[in-house]
Amino acid sequence: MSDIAATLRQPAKGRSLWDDARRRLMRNPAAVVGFVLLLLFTLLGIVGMLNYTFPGLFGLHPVDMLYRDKVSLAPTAEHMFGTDTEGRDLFSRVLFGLGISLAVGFVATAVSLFIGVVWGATAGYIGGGVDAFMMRIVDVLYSVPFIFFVILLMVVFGANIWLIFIAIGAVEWLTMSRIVRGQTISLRQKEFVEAAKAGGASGPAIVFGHIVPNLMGPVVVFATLNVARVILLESFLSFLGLGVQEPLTSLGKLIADGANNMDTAPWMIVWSAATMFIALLCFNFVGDGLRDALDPKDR
Amino acid sequence: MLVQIFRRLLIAIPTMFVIIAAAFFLMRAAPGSPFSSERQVSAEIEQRMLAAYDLDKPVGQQFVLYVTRLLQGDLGPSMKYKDKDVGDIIAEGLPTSLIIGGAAMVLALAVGCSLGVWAALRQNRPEDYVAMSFAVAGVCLPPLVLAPLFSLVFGVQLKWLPTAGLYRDQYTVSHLLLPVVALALPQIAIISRLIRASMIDAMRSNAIRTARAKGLPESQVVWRHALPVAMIPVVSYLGPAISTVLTGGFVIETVFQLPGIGKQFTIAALQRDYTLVMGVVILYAAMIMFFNMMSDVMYGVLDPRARRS
Repeated sequence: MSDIAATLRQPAKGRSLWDDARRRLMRNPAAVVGFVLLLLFTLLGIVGMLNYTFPGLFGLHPVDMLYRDKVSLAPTAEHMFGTDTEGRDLFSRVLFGLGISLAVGFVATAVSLFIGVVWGATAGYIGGGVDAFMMRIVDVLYSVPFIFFVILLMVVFGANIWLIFIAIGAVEWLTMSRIVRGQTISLRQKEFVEAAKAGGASGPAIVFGHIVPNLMGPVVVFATLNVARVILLESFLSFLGLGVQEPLTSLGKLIADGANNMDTAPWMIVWSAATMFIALLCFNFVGDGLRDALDPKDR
Repeated sequence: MLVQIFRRLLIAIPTMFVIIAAAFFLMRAAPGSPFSSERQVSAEIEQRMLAAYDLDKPVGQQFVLYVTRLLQGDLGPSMKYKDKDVGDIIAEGLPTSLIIGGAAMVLALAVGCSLGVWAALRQNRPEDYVAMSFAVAGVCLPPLVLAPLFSLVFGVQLKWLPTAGLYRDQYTVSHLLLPVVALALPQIAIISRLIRASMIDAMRSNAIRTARAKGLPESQVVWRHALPVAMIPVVSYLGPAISTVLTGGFVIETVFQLPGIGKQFTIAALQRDYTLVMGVVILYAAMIMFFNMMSDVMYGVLDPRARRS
């Protein structure tokens, strides 16, 4: 009897949105596999980048080492992915390119996330004329094909990885700001916002302390899919010779190199294209899985 | 509808002007002149070269000159091909790019819609899963992955189809097949997913129940009543799709060595041929804005609910 009473006295263990979401996500095999593979890819990418900074770390072939006697070598035991037309170990280069591509994806998405959340939350919370004005700007920018601006920037100022981060991030925030604004408007009326106001919290404190944390669900979904889009965009630039430049490389640049040497070294394109395909697939699986997990009514 | 087009134009024209201005001043901000890489010439000759391209005048005046010429349809002379105008270079490449892009869009719509409807009518059956797995994979196979792989497999290894060597005014199926399919496949994937989702919704609607109750044959219910409603989201996706296909063409033309605008643009960008780069940017920006506008207007016509907002 006292046992039951003791049990009853304990507060019911609440399940947050994120607990529920994780439970649902774990039941989606594609999303779980995608998530695990992405973790693995991220680790491999970091290893690849460390191998560039500290050549020979982890016993890998250095990224830039030219094996002059082993130019365009098909995959062997020593060079798992073979070598490229310069005689560089392709495995090390693919890992390095993967690292750079993922870095561009994550950093540019973080930039767009920051701008989009601040812009959308501000417009949605203030509302009225300010909201109308801010969102009208977004509408107008939407119709501008920004990819050409990014291309122009690269042509004029020369491709450079920092410019790529910022240019792509500054282009991709529009959809994010729309999502955040819509969510903010629906949250603005909620009791917890009233409570915060009654407690004397300032506008910015309410927006960034109370509203933003509660709209992270759709934002996370969008961000995940956005990373894949940014990686594609960077690859497109690299493919045109306007992305990252030597000595850096990226998946897009590796694919472009492979495309130029298909006759002599077909494995170059195969490895880099396969890596790109799997990475994009994982982001899509995780993004779709997160959407289903966070928004059960949408299924 | 006319009012809507007019309102969109009111926004589109100043936006286009801002694009042109931004592109123009961005290029003037570029370090060095387009001739800086060439061999040393005497000050007098350089002065004449600058004068020939109006580069000796103040920037503001240059801009007015450029816009005035642009309004007359003149994109100025190319800075690398000495005796050619940007307009001529674009006119040479445009047919190839438009044929490839147009064929890819038609293919994407035809196959995407059929596949989406087919999958929707078999919802949650094995065929549906197969079709949708294909669609997910297709989304992750952008032209820059697919085009070289196609070229490698069907051209280099199997030698079924030529991988390059299309000449102007000689558009054969065997030359265009690989580029068009590589360009269309991601769009097929996206369109089929869109159609599948909206078709499933449409088939559950009251209108369809009424059509069935009326005793219409199933084929008519699907194609006459459900599909037009299910097409609406695709119409609003057409703008972005065309924009993706146009930019994807840059990659396709580079991989398959096709003499289109994309190929010229890639070369121009690497050679810093500023006027040519700018001409292509303006043309493509205008085309994309136009198609976005058409897609939105059509959406408004097809779905009266969208007009109110």
